[in-house]
Amino acid sequence: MRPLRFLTVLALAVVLAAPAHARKPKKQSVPEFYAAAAEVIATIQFTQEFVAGGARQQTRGVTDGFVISSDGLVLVPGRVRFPQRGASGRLSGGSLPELSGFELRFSDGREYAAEVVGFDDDLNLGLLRIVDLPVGEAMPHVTFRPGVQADVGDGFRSMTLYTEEYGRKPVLAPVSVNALLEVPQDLWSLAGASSSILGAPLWDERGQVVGVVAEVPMSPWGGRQMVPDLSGPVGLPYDRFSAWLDEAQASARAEQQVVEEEPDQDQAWLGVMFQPLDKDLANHIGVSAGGGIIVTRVVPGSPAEAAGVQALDILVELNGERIAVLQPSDTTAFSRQIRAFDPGAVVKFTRERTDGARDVVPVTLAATPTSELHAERRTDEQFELTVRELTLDTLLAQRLEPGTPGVAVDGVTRAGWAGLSGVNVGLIIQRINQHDVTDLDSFDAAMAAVEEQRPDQVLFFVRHGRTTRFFVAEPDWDEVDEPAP
Amino acid sequence: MQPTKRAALLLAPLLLLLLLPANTEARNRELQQAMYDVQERALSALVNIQPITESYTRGERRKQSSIGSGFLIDDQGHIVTNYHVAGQAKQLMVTLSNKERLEADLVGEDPLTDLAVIKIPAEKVAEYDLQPLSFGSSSDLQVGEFVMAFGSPLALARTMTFGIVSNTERYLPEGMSLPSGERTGEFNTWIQTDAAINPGNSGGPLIDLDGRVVGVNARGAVFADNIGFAIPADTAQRVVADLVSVGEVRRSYAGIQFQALKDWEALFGLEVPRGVLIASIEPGSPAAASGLVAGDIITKLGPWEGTARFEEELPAVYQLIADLPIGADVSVEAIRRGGDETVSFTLTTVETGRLQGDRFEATTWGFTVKGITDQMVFDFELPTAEGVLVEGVRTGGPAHRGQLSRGLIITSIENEPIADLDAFKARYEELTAGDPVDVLLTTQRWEAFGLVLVKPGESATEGGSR
Repeated sequence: MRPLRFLTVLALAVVLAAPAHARKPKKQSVPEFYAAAAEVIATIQFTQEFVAGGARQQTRGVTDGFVISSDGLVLVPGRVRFPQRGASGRLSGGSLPELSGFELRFSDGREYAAEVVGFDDDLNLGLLRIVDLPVGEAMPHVTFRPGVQADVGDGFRSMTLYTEEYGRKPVLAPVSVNALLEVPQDLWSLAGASSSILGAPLWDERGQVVGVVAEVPMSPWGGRQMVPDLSGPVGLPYDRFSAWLDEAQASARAEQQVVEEEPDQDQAWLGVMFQPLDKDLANHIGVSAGGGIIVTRVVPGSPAEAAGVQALDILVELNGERIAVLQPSDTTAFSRQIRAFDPGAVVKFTRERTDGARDVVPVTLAATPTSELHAERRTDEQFELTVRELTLDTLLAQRLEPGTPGVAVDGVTRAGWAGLSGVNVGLIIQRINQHDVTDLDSFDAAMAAVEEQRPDQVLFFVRHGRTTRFFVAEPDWDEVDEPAP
Repeated sequence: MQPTKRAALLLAPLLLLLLLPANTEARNRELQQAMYDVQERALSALVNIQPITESYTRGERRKQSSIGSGFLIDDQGHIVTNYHVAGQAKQLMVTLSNKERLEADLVGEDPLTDLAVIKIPAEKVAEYDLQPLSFGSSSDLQVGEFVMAFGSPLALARTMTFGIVSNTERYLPEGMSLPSGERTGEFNTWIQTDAAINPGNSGGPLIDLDGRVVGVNARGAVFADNIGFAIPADTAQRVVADLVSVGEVRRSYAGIQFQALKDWEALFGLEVPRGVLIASIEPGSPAAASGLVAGDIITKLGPWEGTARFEEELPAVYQLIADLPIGADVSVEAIRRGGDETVSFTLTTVETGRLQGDRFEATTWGFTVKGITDQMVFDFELPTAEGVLVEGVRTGGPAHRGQLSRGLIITSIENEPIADLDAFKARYEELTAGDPVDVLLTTQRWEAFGLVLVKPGESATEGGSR
């Protein structure tokens, strides 16, 4: 009887589990909320540079943010405050893309590094990605509730963390809506919200996030909002930023897929971007339902391109087996499946047309090209500049042709010789003085020549996407000859 | 020395001391009187503008109201304001200084300089005895010169503020864009003033003590005090003349980005600084076709010869390009790296044209689109001008459920290519005429394509606070 009892339990569990998704979550008691919320909210430290007294200086700032997905995406305010200047209550004016060195700290002691993967100036929100999340570790995260129309008097729960000195204890911050603002548009004025909870989520009593505490999105344009600065945080409803957030998450993940694809030469590479062939799409376009991929882009120079795969091809089988990709969450499994082949292996895709015709496309998989993550790097100590070889993912991200010459700036000290000239991370150096830079070796050669000649000015010709620009460094060669302090 | 003379010498400073307060007082009175005169003239021409504009960015057409300023420039009823106040307005109401309200019409708009001209009936100008303001010259403006700003800061109509010119040629970095998305500001430096400029001042005049308009107030620095910026009268006057006479400003487009040469001449093989440095050439642009490349230094452009060593000199160079005859061959001479001689090129510009296409709400499908202009292809690095660009997706709507997102280009509907906005509209009307049907959109973002299924018939779970 034992197996039967086990099955009964299983069946019961399934019955109980199935509708749980559809049902409204239960109301949370305050202690329940306090425990759950503390897991997703983090203090975020960052570095900001500013010019004071004619010199570039750095300062560390702090803001709040919260985890929105198990793979470590974190929603943060787009513009952040200096605690040092908190007295005047002014914003630093620094927006997310100008900041660096993000460190997330949770109340339970977890600490992570993060990078900016999304930013919206209008919403004044940004998205960070935790970069050192151990493989297989899933982050506790919030769930959003769309469609909330708040009324005056509605209460929400919010949370921030005490500073380091107080052990980063979670601080419960109840707020209530004291006005509905239609100008600029659909904002909740909040009683009980101060700048200390800027960036914190607004939870309803069921523990779902309905909005975020944000600054009124301001624009440098005098006539834009044409309302007085509310000079304080307000509630930005989830519906106001959900579309942006969906998009930012998708693009963050798209980038991540390239980064995640371990460039181990042992892993196979197909070279397509794709979307799931869901049931509705399959039915509508007249191909067999049951899963597959719609090729959205064929990477130039990839095995898929060599095999004649084209954008908008529909691939339904791999080596005679149905490709079980029906929704976005299925895509990583497919990517993993491809990578598990040996480079050089021939795989057969079945391509289906809307008239029902099928053909088989053999593809000889190649080794995964080196990605940014594993690219070779060189550092020039004098100019305090680190560059890396140009990899396919960098080129695709900047929409450049494979084979574009240059090296990518990987790190630069702001107040170093290169940094002061304006050379920044992400730019592609293509020339240094009269020396063309095509790869790491020519970069080294150019820098060696410069350091031998010791010119007063060093010209960097850089590219980012389709745009190019010149930067000129003015090295202080005397500094080199001085003995180290 | 004679005693009287000595006495006079001794007395002179004393007399001066006695006269000084009286003199200062007189001067103050003079200044005060000048300001009274200015305000009298300015207020007569000043209007408060209440435009109704339309926003499409959230996937549906939404009306927006705002407040800005403007000023009358002739007895025909033409009023100058900012593009970001009155541009693309569907309805314009103005309130005159005598508090009378009138409807106004949009005459012309120019996002590249953020200027627009609207008009009230000429009869009303006469009826209310409104006195138009005239433009002065912004080129002889001096730092420290007294100026007054007029407008409706924070909707407080008929507000006058007073200050000085803080800088006559403030360079604001390239790459600025308007709230509605167009790039702007590349053709002028700015007059910086400490006369208070706040939201709502936009479009109002900046006036000198002689009562001449020296600038059009356009921007304020957000996290600062007393840092406002006005479009110089010299720029405004040109643009306004075109808007009044033909309703638009036509400009040449070459696809060149310049950079100040600073003291880098030796790096580019020059003995003395001369010419203007090309920082970047837009692929596919007229400049690219001419053979010019980044790093070339233009020494001669048609009849123009000059140097741009400093950023403040760049707007004039962009203006020079814009002024080239559209579609005509212009000879360009440039110095190329490693060569001593200039090389000749022939540049044939195209017309800049509209920065943005018309917009349309596909209500049943739950998103908005806009037409793609040639200039958008350059500005947003689009593959071609084919298709329509998704401007917004309504939260919870059919397109949102189908994962359509802002910034995608729709290239076909149900496998029929969509060439432009008219084709999109026609197809939309056709497919939404009867019962709701599912539609398949082919989308493109840069090099990637995609399929989106929009199911308008599906029971809506639309949320979103409206």
